[in-house]
Amino acid sequence: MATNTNVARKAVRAKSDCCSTGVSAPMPKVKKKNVNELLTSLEGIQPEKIVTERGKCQLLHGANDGEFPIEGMTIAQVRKQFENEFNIPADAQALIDGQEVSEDTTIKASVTVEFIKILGSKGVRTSE
Amino acid sequence: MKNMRIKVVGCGGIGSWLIDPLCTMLNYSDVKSEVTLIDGDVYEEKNRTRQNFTEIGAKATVTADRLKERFDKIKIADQPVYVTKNNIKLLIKENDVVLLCVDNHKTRKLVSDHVGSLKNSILVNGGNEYTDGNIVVCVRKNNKDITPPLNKNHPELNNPQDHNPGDKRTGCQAMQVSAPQLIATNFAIASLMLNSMYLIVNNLDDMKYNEVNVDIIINQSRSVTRK
Repeated sequence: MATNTNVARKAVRAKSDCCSTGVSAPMPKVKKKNVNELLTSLEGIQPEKIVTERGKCQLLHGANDGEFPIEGMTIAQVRKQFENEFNIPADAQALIDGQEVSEDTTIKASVTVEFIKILGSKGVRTSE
Repeated sequence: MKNMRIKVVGCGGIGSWLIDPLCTMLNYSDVKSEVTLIDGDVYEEKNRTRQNFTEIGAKATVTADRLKERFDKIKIADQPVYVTKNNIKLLIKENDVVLLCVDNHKTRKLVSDHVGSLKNSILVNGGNEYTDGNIVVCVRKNNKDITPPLNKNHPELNNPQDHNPGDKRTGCQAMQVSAPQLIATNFAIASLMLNSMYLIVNNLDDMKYNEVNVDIIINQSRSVTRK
């Protein structure tokens, strides 16, 4: 999926990853896509089914906040699908209505799904 | 006149942008303040890309010296040391307001556990990744948590995988490689911490949040009350 925000995040990440090498990452072209395209990247799901049959839930991470038809998806699926758009760290804890849940938890309609992590650890990678 | 003792732990990417406006706010307020800057690191030329300083040297000391010339109503002190388990009880005391601007969870856990053992304390933690970050405000009053401690909603702090620079490295312990940082993100976090200090100085009861998240890509922040 490649919304404007996602494209901007990818460009920023590419630049930060290549800072040490001094190589500039090319800015990808901005391309608009809608929510249905976002969700149909999961195999076997038809857009009509998503829009009419999946219930909407609030999805939160950091300052990112939106309502999406993610009922019936697992936490792992939502994490993967929104990791770039919502900048979700791989190790962020998942909550449903404030309660910690596991990756295989299936999401019900009208809940609030939040990924949380306290930020600011320098040692994200080590060298020997 | 209200008295306030403030300990700023970390004078780097976030702390160096927080300290000047913090002292400006305190110098012209009705609060009689003592501000202690705590950091064992030194400013180097490479830090000029995103840290606020004029002189190379021990971060806490050169910053304190610079601020003493500007602000005559605040008592400003420096402790050019890293916070460790051996010195934390001397550095952070009962009734302190701690502004935690460090870049590792080891120190966060150490400070959080210590302020959690005090009867009265306020901890404002700030941290960021490349384009996003958050602050968490932890208040203790009369030996009770008024807001959750730092690790309650962030259990990743219970077993930090990074390193406190004040701790000795043993054997073949690997050097940490810094993740790249942006001045815009550091500054955004410093601003959020200053916002919370405004309420702490004026009326903490007006604070309707205990966590604020910010993302500089979408240029948005979201405040949260966690239980």
